[in-house]
Amino acid sequence: MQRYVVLGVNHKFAPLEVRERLAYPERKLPGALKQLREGLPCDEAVLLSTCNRVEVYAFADAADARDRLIAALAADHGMKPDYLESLCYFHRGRDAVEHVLRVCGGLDSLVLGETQILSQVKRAYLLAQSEGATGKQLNGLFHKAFHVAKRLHSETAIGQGQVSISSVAVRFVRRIFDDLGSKTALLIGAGEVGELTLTYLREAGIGRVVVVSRSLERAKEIAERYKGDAVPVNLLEDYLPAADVVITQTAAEDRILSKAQFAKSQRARGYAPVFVLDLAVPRDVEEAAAELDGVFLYNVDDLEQVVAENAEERSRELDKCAAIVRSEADEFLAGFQTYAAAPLITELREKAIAVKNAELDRVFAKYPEMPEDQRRELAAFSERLVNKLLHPQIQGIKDQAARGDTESIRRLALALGIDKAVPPAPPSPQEEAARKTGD
Amino acid sequence: MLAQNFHSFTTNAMGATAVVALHAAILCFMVAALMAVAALFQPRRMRMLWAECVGGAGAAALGTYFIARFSEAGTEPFSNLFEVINLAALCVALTCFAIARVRKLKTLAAFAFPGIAVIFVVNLLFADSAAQGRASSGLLVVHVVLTLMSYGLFFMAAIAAVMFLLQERALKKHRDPAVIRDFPPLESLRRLVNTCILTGLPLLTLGLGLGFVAMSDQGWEAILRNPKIPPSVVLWGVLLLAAAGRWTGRLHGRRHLYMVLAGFALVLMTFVGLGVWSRSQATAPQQQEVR
Repeated sequence: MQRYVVLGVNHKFAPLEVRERLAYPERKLPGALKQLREGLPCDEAVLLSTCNRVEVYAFADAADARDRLIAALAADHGMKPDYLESLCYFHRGRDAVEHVLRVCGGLDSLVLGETQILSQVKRAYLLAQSEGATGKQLNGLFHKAFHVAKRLHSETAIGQGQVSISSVAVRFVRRIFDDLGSKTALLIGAGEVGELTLTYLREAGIGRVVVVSRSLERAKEIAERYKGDAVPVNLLEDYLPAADVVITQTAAEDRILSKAQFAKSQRARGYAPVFVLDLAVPRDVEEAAAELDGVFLYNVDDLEQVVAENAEERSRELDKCAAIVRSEADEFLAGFQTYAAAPLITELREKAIAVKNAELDRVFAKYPEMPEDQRRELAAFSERLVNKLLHPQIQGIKDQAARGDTESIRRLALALGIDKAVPPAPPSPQEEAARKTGD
Repeated sequence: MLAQNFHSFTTNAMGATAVVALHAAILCFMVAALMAVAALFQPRRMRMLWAECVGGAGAAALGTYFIARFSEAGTEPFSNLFEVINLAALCVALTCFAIARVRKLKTLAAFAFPGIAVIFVVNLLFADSAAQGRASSGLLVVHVVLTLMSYGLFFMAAIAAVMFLLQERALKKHRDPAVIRDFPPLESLRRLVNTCILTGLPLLTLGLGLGFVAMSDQGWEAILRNPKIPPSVVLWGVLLLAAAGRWTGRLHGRRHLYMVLAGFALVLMTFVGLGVWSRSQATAPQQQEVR
C-alpha cells in the first residue's frame, strides 16, 4: 500500500507561471513518462498534465521516491529542485489513493465538482497504458477512481449548477430556447466576459453572431473571430428585433437601450423571448425593459448571485463526498492488501502440495501392488488433509492482510522460509521524515 | 368507502380478468404518480424513467382491461360513462407518452400521472352513478371519443402552461431553483401549448357538432337543458379566443397561458361538477322514497 505515490503541483500551491513551465505538451508526454519511470525507478506510472495541475502517479518501491520524482521533474524543465520542492506536494499510501479519487471526482479542482478533469485523467491513463506504463496496481487504482467519480456525480449534487458568469448565462439561454442553431446573438461593445459568453454560445451551437461596436474595425475584428457579421452602431435598432440573445458590455455612461426600444422590438418579434445580458458598469439597458413580455434581462449582479448560490450548493455536498471517498478508499485498500498477500498464500499452498505429492509418491512406490481405487482414495484423502490444515492459516493471512498487518505476514513468511513472496517493507512516514532531516 | 364502493361495483359489473386489470392499472398509476413527483423533486434518488415504466405498466393493464371488456361485453364500454372516463385516462396516458417522446419532455410524467390518478379517484367516487350514464348511438360514441381526445390535449396544454409559467417566473426573477432545472425550455413549452390547442380545438368542434347532430331528434330544449353543453360551448369559445388572439398577436405571454388554464379549469369543473350533480340527482329521489 505504501508503494502508491503521488507528486504534483496544482493551482492551490503553484502560481500560473510555474504551472506553465511544468506543463507538458501532449507530444512530449510519452518521452517524459519514460524518463520518470527510469528515474524512480518503477514499472507503473501515469503522468497528468493540465492547465491547473501536473501530477505523477506511480507504484514504486523506492523509499526516496519523493526526491527522485522532484529531481526528474526539475531536470526535465530546467528548474532548481529546491524551488520545485517548495511548491509541490507528495502523498504516499492511503493519502495517495484518496488524492487520486478526489482529483478524478473534481473535488480538488478550481471549479469544485467539474467533470473536465475526469476526461483529462482518463486520457493520461490511456496514454500510460498504451506506453506499457500501467499494471495491476495502477489499473486497479484508476478504475476505482473512475467508479468513484461516477458515484460522486450521481449520488451527490457536487456537479450541479454552473459556477461562472458566462456558463450560468448560457444555462439561462438554454432554459429559454431549445434550438440555438436558429437563433441570433447580438454582441454590443467588446469586453472579456461578453466575448467569453459568446464563445460558450458558439460552443452551444448558436446560429448567427452579429457584433456592434462604435468602431467598425473593432467590430469586424471580433466578428471574424466568431464567424459573424459586423454592424455599425447607428444600425443597432434595426438589428435588435432579429436578436434572440443580446450581450452588451460598452463603456457608455448612459443607457444605450431603452424600454421603448425593446417594446418596439418585441412587437416586431411577435413577443418571442429575448435574453438580454447587460455586463456593463454602468448598465447599458434600462431596467424597466425587464417588465416587457418576453424580455429576460440579467446584469452582472444577478448572475453573480446565482453563481454564489450554486457554489454554496456544491460546497454543502463536500462532507458527503468526503465520506464516499473514504469508504471507497477503505474498500480499495482492503482489497489491495488481501491481494498483496496472494503470493504468500500461493507459495504456501504450492509448498504443502509438493510435500503431499512427494509423500504420496513414496507410499505408492512402497506398495506397487496397491489397487487403483485405493490409490485414488489415498490421493483424495491427502488432498483433503492438506486443505483442512491450510485453511485456518490462509484465512489468518487474509485477515491480517485486510487489517494491513504486513509485519506479521512478513514474520510468518520468514518463519516458513518463503520470504521471497513478500515484498520488502516500505519506510514508515516517521522513517522517511527522519531520513529527510538527516537524523 | 371509496374502495368498498369501487370493489362492489367492479365485481358485480365485469369479469375477473377485467377486474384484475383495472385494479392493477389504478395501482400502477397511483404508484407512478408518487414516483414521478418524487423524481421531479429528488432527481438523484428517483428517476423519471422508472415512473414512466410503472406508468407504462399501468397503461398496458388498462389496455388489457379494455380488451377484456370488449371481448366480454362488445361495444358496451363505449356507452358507459365509468368506462369512458377510464378510456380518457388511457388516452391521457398515451398522449403523455407520445408527447414526452416527440417533444423530449422528461418532466411531463410528473404532471400527467398525478392527473390520471385524480381522474381515477374521481371516477371511483362516482363509480355507481357514472355507470348509469349511457351513450345511445354510434354518433354519440364518436362524439364522446373526439371530445375526450380534445380534453386530453387540453390537459397536456394545461400542464405545459403550468410548467411554462413556473419557468418564466423563475427566469424573470433571476432564480435557478433545482426543482425546475430539468424543465424543458420555454420555447418548447410554448410550442407544445400551441400544438395541443390547435389540434384539440378542431377535435372539440367536431365532437360538439356530432353531439348536437346525435341529440337533434330530442329537440333544442332538451339539448340546452343538458348540463354538459353550456360549459363545453364556453370552453370552446375560450379556447377559440385564445387561439385567435395568439394567431393575431393580440394575446401573448402570460395572458394567453392564463386563458388556456382557465379553459382547462372549465373542463375540470364540468366533469367534477357534473359528477357531483348527477350523484345528488340520483340520491334525492331515493331519500324521498325513504321518507
